[in-house]
Amino acid sequence: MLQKPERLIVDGKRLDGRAFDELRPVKIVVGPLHRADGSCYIEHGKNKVMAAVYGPREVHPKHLQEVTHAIVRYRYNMAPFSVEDRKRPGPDRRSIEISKVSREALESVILKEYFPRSTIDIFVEILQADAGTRVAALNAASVALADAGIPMKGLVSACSVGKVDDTLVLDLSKEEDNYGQADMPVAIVANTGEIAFLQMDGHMTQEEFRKALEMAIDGCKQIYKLQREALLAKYGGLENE
Amino acid sequence: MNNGKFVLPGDLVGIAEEFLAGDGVYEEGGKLIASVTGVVEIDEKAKRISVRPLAGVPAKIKKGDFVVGRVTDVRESIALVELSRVKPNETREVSNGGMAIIHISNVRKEYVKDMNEEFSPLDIIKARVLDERTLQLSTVGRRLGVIKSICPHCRIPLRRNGDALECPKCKKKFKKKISEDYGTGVL
Repeated sequence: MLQKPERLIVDGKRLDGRAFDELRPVKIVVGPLHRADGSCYIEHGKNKVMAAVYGPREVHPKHLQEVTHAIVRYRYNMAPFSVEDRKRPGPDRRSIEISKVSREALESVILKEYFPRSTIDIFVEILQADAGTRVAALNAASVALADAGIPMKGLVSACSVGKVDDTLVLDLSKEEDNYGQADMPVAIVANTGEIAFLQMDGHMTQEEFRKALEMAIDGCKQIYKLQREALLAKYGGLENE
Repeated sequence: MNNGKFVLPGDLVGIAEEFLAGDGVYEEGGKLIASVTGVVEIDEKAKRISVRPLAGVPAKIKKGDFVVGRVTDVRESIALVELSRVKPNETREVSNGGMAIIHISNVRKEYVKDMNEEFSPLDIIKARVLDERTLQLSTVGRRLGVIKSICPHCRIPLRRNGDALECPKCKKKFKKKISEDYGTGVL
């Protein structure tokens, strides 16, 4: 188990040596799964996340289908081995909530009207968790949707920001998440700057909140660049054929 | 914006005054924005800008497409077909599929007297889409029709023998609207 560190910020640096506005290293692989219509694997620091997209396809059970637009289903799931103690498999209160808010974030960009009476299914598996899994999952899902060729208004990019030792820091690590004072995951649509998703845990003053939101949006923009590069690396090579 | 530029969903490709929005492009607030990953294509004549997808494409049935499905029921003048795949996107499930209909007048060029002679439940067929909204199909054409069928008594695949199908076990013969690709595995 983690020991509570005495201080989370030592000599103006974080425990892992990052600056206050620095992200953890991110690696994005587009299309690792061949059976899915679209997929993406992301390593965000020690987080390991796999996302798969199926559809648009027929809705089962049939009564869920909508005549005017496609429905979107999002499943956030943590593997039993993703955390230190074994996680009891299956959906729990936390993952149901994360699924709901993440689905709503993606629904705001997917052009659902193009596919009436169908469903777009998104499955995200957390293989290894280390704080900030919901934003890593959202980043992976958004790239997987682009890989599946599902029409969208833009890519969703997400990032978390928090407060530790009375200082605002970007992209919380495990220690900072567990023993910090606040945690705020944010997702934006990078092209328009719209906020697609925002949650907050803990306490911040109004001034801190404004500053934190600014930092988070900057972080999301950095993530967007990485998502863009990953998609370009997979598909941009075909540009000159 | 130039022809052949690589774009992602959300990228600005043009202004509503200069072009019409084609495939893979949507209009919002006077701006033309890409909705899929791909390269920009400009049709100067039609003044239309579209994005040719490079990532996957959802399988959507349109008029004139060739589809593969399974016959689920044969009535007096129609056969019901459960759609599965659409050419040329065979690896993806269809998004606007469901129950399609072949009317007796769309089975073959010649007059068809009895629908039960042409199709039977569980036949796998290839057909052309006449209307994507009502899902009307046609099997008029040499490569269209049954591509796999089983014997209703022995439950083993029928073999092609000239212009009829024959059960290898009970030697029963079946007429049917057979595709040229019967038994070849070619979709």
